[in-house]
Amino acid sequence: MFSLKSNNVTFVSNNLHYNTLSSSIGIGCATEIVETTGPVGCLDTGQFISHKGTTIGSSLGNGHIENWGESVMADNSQQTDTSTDIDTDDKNQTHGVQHGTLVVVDSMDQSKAKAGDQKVLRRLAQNREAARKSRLRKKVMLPLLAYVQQLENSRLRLSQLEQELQRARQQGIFITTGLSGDHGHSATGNGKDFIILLQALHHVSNGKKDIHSYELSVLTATFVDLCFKCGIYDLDGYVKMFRLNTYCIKDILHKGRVLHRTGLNLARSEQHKFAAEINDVGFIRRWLMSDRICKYRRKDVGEPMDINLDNIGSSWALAFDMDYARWLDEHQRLISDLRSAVNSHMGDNELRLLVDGVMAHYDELFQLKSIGTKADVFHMLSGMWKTPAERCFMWLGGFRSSELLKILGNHLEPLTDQQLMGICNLQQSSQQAEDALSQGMEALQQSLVDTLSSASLGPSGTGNVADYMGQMAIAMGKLATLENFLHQADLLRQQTLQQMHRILTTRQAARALLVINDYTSRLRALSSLWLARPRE
Amino acid sequence: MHFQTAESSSTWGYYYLPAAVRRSTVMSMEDPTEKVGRLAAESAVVIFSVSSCCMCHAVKRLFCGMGVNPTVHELDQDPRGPELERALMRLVGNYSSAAVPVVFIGGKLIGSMDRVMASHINGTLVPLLKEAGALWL
Repeated sequence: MFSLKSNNVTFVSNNLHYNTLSSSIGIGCATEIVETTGPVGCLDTGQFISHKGTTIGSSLGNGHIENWGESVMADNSQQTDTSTDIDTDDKNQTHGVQHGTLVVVDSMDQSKAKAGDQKVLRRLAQNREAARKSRLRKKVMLPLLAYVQQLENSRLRLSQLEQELQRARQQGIFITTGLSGDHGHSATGNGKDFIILLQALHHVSNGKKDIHSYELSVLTATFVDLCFKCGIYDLDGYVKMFRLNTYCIKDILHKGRVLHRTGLNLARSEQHKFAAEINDVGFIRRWLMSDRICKYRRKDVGEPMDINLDNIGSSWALAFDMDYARWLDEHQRLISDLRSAVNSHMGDNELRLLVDGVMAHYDELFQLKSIGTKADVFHMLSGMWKTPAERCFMWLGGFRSSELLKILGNHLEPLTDQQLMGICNLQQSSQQAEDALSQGMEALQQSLVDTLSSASLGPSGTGNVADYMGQMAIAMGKLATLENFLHQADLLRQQTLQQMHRILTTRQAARALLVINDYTSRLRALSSLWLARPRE
Repeated sequence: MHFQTAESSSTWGYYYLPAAVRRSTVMSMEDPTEKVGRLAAESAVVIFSVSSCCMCHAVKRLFCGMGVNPTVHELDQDPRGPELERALMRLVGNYSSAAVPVVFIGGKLIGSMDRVMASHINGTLVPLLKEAGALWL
């Protein structure tokens, strides 16, 4: 197989040379032979190549060349796996010496060359063609084998992911119900450690166990460390715990316990104080180096950890995408039913059933989104589950209520005065709520920037692990607020829709839903068109 | 009342304590829930918040955007903050997420951010504000 490949490679260069030296076949042939001999040395199957070379050079008569051409053609007609057959075939042919060939060619008669000119040209062209095809096929075959291997691996990975999804779903249920203490559901070893630690922290912050502030901060630091090793998505419970923890610590501080103060600066705000307290505990470092942490570290190497690490988040994202696609299909079906009902001037009672059905279906979407937000807030925020154009107009993980009402604006006529006022008020209040949430988000981003850019950045950073962990812990707590914002935004959307449903009559509501659907369909169509646009 | 019995039972000890401690003893006698209620009744719109909480910031912006001037109590700057937080948690019935922000209008509990927004979208928030005298237009 390889021999043919290199032979074909040489043929390429031969081709080029041949074009430039079209005047004399002899020289062209000579060049070819020279090229052919080039790579021969590097291959085991070099002999084969030299055979071919000699075949060209030693005989400009039709017979041999035709033979050779045919052998190459035969090569192309067969599967590449059978290249070994071709090998043996050609080995039966001439077996000249490479250098001898050169000599033979050089001494060729120019006139004889002209006689077989046309035929040789044709033959060589055919050979080049054949060789090119063969080379292309090689280019496909080898990667194909690699690709099949990759598919196999991917299939394995997919089944792993599915298992992880199952496990994550179970764990997700545990975590989102809070620290209820029913740790029976934990599926992985990591989960058990988490739970033990979580329970300890829970007891402490509930004041059930009187614990020295050092131990508390050590516990928390261990927790943070463990969380980092295990990957981010188990931390829902942690951050909830963390918020309780901060106040517990302040409580302890206010009761006047004595803390060791090292030379480290103690920041003024509460959170920095907390981080500083972790710094203060000098034996945190020893703790980190200690066996217990090493035990967690060793778990890094094992299989379950690997899967947990990068893919619980994307498993959830995948699950959400699939659920959303299913929801969308169902939504389209309901809307088309509604459309045909409106067009056929159906009675109000049946229409109300359909409209209520669509509203209930929207509630299902918000339910899905709330699960998705708890599982993977960044995926929801990124909007990768929407089409590009929709994503452009997205606000905090979904559509803008006020924009929706603006779109509906003219399509709802005729409206009574009361309805008009209701819609105007709704638009105004949703706008105000959106502004408030946007400003809250800006504040969150600013505070996150402040946290990450505080103290130990740049050359002054001493690489204090506990300090770094403290900052990270604070940042993590702030990120948890992100979920809350998304949740509030979704609630806003849901309530706007419901209020609109309340204000409008059944027929108006049906028309409104159709208008909304048309608008989003157009956005989606725009995305498809844009993605498929011809590029120069 | 709780406060009075304590005073009468430890009369001797009470009079021997220095003034500052006496004052703080008196203050700490007040039940956190009662304190919350008292603070809530002091103004038309009362928000219990934490200075570093971004959701609290959003609630404040919401009211300011409507032209209301709320009274804000920052619990992290209050020495009895944790107790008040726990009391708020009990009042709102929310044990799983943060206790703040909590909004009172006209002394009546409205609730956390979701309830505030829901009532705003419902159209019930503005009448409440007008009734409490926080909004005149």
